[in-house]
Amino acid sequence: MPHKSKVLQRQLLKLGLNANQAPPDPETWHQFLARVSACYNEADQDRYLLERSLEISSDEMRDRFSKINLLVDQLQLNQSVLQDMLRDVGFEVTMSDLATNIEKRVTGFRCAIFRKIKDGNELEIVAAPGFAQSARVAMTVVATLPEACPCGQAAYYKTPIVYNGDSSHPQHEQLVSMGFESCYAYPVLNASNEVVAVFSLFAEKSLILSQQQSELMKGLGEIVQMAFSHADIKRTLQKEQEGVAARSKMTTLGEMAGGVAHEINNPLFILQGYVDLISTSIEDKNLNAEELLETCQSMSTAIHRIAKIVRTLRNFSRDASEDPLEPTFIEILLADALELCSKRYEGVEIELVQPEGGINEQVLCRPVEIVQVLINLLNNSYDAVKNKSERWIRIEILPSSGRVEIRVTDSGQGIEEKAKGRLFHPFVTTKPAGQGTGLGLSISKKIVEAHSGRLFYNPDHSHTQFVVDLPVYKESA
Amino acid sequence: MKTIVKSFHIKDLQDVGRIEGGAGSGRVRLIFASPGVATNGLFLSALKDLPPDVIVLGCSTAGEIAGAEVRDDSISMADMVFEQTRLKPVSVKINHAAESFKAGQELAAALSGPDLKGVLILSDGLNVNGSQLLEGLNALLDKNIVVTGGLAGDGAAFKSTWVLVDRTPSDGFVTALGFYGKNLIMHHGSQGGWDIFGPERLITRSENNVLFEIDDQPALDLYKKYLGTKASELPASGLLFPIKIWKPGEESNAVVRTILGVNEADHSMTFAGDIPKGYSAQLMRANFDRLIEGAAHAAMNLGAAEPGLSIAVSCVGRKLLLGERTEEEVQAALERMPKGSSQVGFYSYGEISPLVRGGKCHLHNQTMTITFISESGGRDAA
Repeated sequence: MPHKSKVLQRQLLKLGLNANQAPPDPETWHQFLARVSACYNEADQDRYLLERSLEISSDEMRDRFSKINLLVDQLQLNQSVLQDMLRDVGFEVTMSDLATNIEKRVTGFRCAIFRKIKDGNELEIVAAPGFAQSARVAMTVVATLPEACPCGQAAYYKTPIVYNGDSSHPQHEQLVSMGFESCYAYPVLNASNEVVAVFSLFAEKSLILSQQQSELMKGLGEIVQMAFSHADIKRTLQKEQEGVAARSKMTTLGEMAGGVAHEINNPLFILQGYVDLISTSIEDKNLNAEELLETCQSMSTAIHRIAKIVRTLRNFSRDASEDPLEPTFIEILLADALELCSKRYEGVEIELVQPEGGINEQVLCRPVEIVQVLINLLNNSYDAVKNKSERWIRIEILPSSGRVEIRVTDSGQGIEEKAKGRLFHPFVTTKPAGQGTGLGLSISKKIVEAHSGRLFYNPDHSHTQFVVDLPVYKESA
Repeated sequence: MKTIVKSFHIKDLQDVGRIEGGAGSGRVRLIFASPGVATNGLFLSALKDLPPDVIVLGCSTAGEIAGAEVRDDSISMADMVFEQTRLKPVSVKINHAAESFKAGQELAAALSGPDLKGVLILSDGLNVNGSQLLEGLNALLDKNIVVTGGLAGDGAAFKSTWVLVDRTPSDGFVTALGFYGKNLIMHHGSQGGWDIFGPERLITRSENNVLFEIDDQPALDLYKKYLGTKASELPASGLLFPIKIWKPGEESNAVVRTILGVNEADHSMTFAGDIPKGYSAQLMRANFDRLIEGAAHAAMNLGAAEPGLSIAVSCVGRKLLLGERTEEEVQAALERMPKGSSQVGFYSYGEISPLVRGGKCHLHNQTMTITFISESGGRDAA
């Protein structure tokens, strides 16, 4: 019999049957039929299971596909909303702006943002622009405990908490007394899974967030965290900048210390001389009233000189960033600067050429800060020329069309080409290693720019020249 | 090494006690029997009649394999007579599946030796967590030692299995035979032939080898949905849909698990090995040709060059699906072995074998797993 199936061949073999002969007895025939029937049944069952598997798994795949599509739609919608928010709110976001923006997206709710107090178990309110003052006061500090209000609970459990007028909630009475029937609170976690903030939605009616809104709120957590991070970074940066400015000032003071000490020692020496003279006169009983008066006047001059130096020094070292702007004669600014640093030049025979008098221009400024800039330029020139064979520093004041230039030129040969582009960058210095912090010019530039001016290096001069360009102050009529 | 394979109906149990020719350093008699013979006095006395130096290893089955034939209500028996290889049988009692890891360690400690080359394990099929048992074994044995074997069966009943301990059918035991000496050659091969289908799922609630929920839904309900009218034949019909599981991101190390039992009260399903929570899962099904092809591949993967004894341990789920075509897979396997090889084996509730050559042993389900034994420097005869 051709084309016999393998299964059939085996079944015949097992029963000792021959395909070309009839079965020897009915029992064997029945056994054979039973095996063939079993084969048919198994094939039927296999087909049944196959078709059933196909149908059920197709349904499951279709169902999954629908859920995925829905999720994708929700994600796309949320992404669009979040992008809009970022665009509206911008980088320099305030928490109040953020809360207001959130309220626009979830109508019927008011938004409150809390910051987790570091190393504590409490939240402090940061923004609640849409709330009445009394509610803001009541929410000033919230404990992060299981029995706290939803915001505290969200921080404690690190999971979103929903309150919808449930009377069994531990804070139900307080929430009702504040006029709220709904609250959704979302914890904001950092990369180390610590709570950094909680933002929450409160409503006076019992409102349910749609699934899309719920998903959106979870996405907002990242924006709130970003806002907190940016605020922290800005604060740190500001502190750093203040620290840098202070250090630069101290460095400049250090550079001037020798000269300042000399400026104070000179009149002290003179004073000591006069005191000795008076003592001798008293001992010799040779007091001449006229001579004594003259001596006292000279002593007074010396004392005023010391006081002026100390006053200038004190002025220089204090934080003047909060000082009001005041019109100041440029000549006075220059004089104060020279008061503190010009004595250094005598020691190394640097010729200091000052501008001729009669310059009446004033600038509207914080005098201490401009003096710091001038001292910085003069000290830089001192360091540049002190070891040169040709040693001079020239200061010029040149008014022109509503502005005035203070030019500080020294006998140096100019700045090297490769250093020019980075002169005003922080921590860049042309001085030898170990000298200079490289902070002076960058801070000086910031100060001058804050005064609506410019500080620049003049590359066209044959020597080294820096220019401070400021607007002239004109009294309004 | 000499091998002698016999298969006879349980009506001829007295043959269990008979020995035929061939001297050697060690004789092992493998006995794979229909579960019902455990209470048969003739079987028990025949075992005791065997000479005391014959090591007897055996278990109950879900079908007996001898050569290219598969039978129920029979005994398949094979003698291996070794000339140089030393042998050591050990057994460990397990009262509860939770003791499986410790039992594996005890076995390993009892078998360890400087020239241990291979281990053949026959374990209780229902009260052991197979994967934990092997974890315990792997913790102490060198991974170069080949460990193979299987979990005893109980037809399609899933009620009670036994292994031979001191020639007595006993439940709650794991037995093993250690092979020592450089002359032993032990190859292994394992292949499934099942295909995944349907969506990828997540194991959301489980405890060791008990599965409660898949995708937060009762696992038993999922199986019943797919089985339709055959749900009434659970747990046996559950074999038609084994489950492939893997640690997320490590699909290449996936294993297949097969059902051992169901609990209608808590909608749970017990499997032969661990089903860890958080693992990904997919249902599987097979067709006849892929299963038979799988068995052939298992034999081709042996890498054996000389004739020897094939110990074929195949999963009961394959027999359930293949039905009248079951013998095709054992025939396909035997045809691909070195000429002159013999074959014995059984249908099991779990198969034991390394995943890759030189690797640790694992519990498999739904596979045809073959251990091919021969001895170098000796004659092999069927």
